[in-house]
Amino acid sequence: MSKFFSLSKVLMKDVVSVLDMKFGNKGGKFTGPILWGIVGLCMLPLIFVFYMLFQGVCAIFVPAGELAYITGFMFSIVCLVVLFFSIVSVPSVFYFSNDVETLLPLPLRPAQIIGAKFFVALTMEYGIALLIIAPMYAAYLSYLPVGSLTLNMLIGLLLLPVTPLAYSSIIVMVLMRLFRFGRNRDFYNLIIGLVALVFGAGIGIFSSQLNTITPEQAVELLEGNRGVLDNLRSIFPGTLFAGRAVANGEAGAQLINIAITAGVVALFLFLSKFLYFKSVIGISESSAPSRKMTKEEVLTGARSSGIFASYLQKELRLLFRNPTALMNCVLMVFLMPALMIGSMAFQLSNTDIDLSGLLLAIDYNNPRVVSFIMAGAAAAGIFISCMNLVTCTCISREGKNYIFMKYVPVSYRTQLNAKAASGLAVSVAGLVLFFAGLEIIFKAPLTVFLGALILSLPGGILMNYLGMLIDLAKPKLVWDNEQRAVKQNVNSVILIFGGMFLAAVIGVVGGIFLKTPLTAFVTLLIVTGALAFGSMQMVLTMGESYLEKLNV
Amino acid sequence: MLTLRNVSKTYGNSSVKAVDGLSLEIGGGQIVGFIGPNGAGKTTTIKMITGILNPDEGAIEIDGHDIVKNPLEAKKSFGYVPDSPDMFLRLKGMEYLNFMGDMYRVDVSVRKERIASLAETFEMTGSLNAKLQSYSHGMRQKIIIMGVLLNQPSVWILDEPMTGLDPRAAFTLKEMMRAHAKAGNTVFFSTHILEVAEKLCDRVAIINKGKIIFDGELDELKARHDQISLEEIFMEVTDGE
Ligand SMILES: Nc1ncnc2c1ncn2[C@@H]1O[C@H](COP(=O)(O)OP(=O)(O)OP(=O)(O)O)[C@@H](O)[C@H]1O
Ligand SMILES: [Mg+2]
Repeated sequence: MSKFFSLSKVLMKDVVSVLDMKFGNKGGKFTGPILWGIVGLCMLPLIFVFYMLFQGVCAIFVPAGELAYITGFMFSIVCLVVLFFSIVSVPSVFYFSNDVETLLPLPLRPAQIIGAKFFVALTMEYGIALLIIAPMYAAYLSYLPVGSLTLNMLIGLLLLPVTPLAYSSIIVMVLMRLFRFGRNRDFYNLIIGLVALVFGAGIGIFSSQLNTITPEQAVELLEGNRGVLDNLRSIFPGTLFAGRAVANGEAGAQLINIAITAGVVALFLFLSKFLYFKSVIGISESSAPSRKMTKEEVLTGARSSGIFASYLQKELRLLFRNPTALMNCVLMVFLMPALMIGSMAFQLSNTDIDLSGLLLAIDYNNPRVVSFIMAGAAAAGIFISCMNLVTCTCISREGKNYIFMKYVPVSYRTQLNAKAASGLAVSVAGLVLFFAGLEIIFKAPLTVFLGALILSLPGGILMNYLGMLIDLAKPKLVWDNEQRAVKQNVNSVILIFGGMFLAAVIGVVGGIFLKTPLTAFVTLLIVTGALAFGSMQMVLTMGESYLEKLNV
Repeated sequence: MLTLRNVSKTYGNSSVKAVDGLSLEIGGGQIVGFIGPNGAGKTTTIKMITGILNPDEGAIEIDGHDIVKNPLEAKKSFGYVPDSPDMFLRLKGMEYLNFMGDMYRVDVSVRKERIASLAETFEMTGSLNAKLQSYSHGMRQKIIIMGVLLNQPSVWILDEPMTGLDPRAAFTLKEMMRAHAKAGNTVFFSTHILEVAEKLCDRVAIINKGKIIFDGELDELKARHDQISLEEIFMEVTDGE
């Protein structure tokens, strides 16, 4: 048992470090908590809506005496959510964490390794479970004559994520056992990135829908779908008894819940002995092609390009072949505009406004309208490019290999410009797609379209060089896992918030004060162009001394 | 030609110098082995020679170019094999070699022949279409060495180049180092394998705690210590602290 706990403690460092975003390589003790505070604040409205909705539900069911139905419902919803979330998190704990290769040869019993890993995964799920159940439970309590947190509720909560996590672990292990291609870190990261995106979008849509559901409709939904709930309960049988224990204080029901959960854990440990160790061996970073290269191909494969072009090509290859970087640094540039255009179209279609009539009503001959568009375009250039984290992670992503930059006989200037160009390529592609998408919807005159596109480009240059400056000043070079270089990098948060702020200022100030299209275009081009030029000069003059100072 | 004059380096706010007043002068035609205990300062010295670290004191010249004052010219004159070959893992072998060829401006016609022959001697031809990620440790070491040799720089600086190489590849590399020195060039490498140093080097420099404690011909060293193997001498001179 003591081995189990010391093992869990060591493995837990992974989880803790996720919560502990750091600035550069050291320092900034408080940045982590502050960031998570911001994230928490963003979640508040959603939690509040959830609370209000559930209050309406409780208003009907609690007075009717159906307490166990409500509490059972709470528990099964949480189980379902944990099941989904853990399917994503289980592979990273069980299969792709760096410690697997070190752990396997240690003299530990399989159950100890699996148990400790399960425990680590479990702690991650408690957060999610708590986030969902807290507002529901608060609403529930507010309808009880004397409501307080009971021991039964605490026990119920502690056991709650165990069953869904055991299920998802078994599902993942079976999948890993069956499909060899799943045992490839890059492939997994790509899939996870996509799943997370779908999740994120799903949560977004769900929460916007939550706003429109009235408590009455929620009650109707619940009444009409008791069958579905019963099915959920037979998947998670413990929730039925946990619900009864909380609602009626039945100690017997709690005991049954404990027994069921223990049974599920025992089943999990038993099955995983057969599934886990066979599938965890042979996890690879990537797969080699089966066909071997021939000498002729080597001779034809040797070709040369200029230093800048070759360096840029190397940057782009490393970027696009790294799923974590692709998901976190590149994708948002394309997704953000798509989401914006999509949600705009969605909202318009939800109202009675005639969309095509509205579009035709835009008067491109009105100078005020066009100058607004110009200010918006300049702001959009900055906003969309601040979602581009390519340059603001470009030194961090090198990790310990940053030394290559220092010993290769290519000037820092060329190297930094090539890195900037890799980010700029992404920004320009994103901006062109964005404005082309708008053009298809709004059918603005060509001059307005081109003017807007041109005005957005300096913003792209600005954000890319600014991002690089931030990363040059405080790169995160020491990481054991390349995800950390990108995901837990405060530099990107600084760039995103800074960019949003700047975009807002330029958009608002420009929109108010620049009244004719030509003055708007010229003024904005000069302002953003000067900013872009300034940021570029700063990188090129200060970059060298920043690079020289690095000696990790 | 490689010259270090009174070079020192202290990391961060550490109180000890990782490299302490080190001087070396290596002429053309020489293979010099750089040996010493773990943490003695070998990698630190090599990182200063290659421009990765700036020395706190002293000056370093490669083929007459000062690495701090004239970095680009100096960097063009040497090829460097770092102590860890885990770089550019998502590039394919061929892409990596082409990239290095571009960085060091190797002409295409020359490049073709060199890649083909290097790949053949290191038995890497079949693997050049795979990503470095899928290579074994020794294969990664080979491809990094190939990338350096592509350019045929006059000064070779190798940090533990033999680690992970199979006997055939190690043999090939040693032969190449010999041939390179024979052609009047400079080879400076660190190693923990004393047999290699003994058989290969004209000269060894032994470093301990950042200071050179012996620098000279192997024969001279043996004569002075009146012992048979470099191993025994190494034990003696780095002992008792
Ligand atoms: N990045 C660093 N930060 C702080 N100290 C360092 C750093 N790198 C090396 N050192 C210290 O400098 C000293 C010399 O290290 P160096 O890596 O040069 O040794 P080495 O001779 O190459 O050893 P090895 O044979 O193990 O490769 C050691 O005391 C080490 O602790
Ligand atoms: Mg070393």
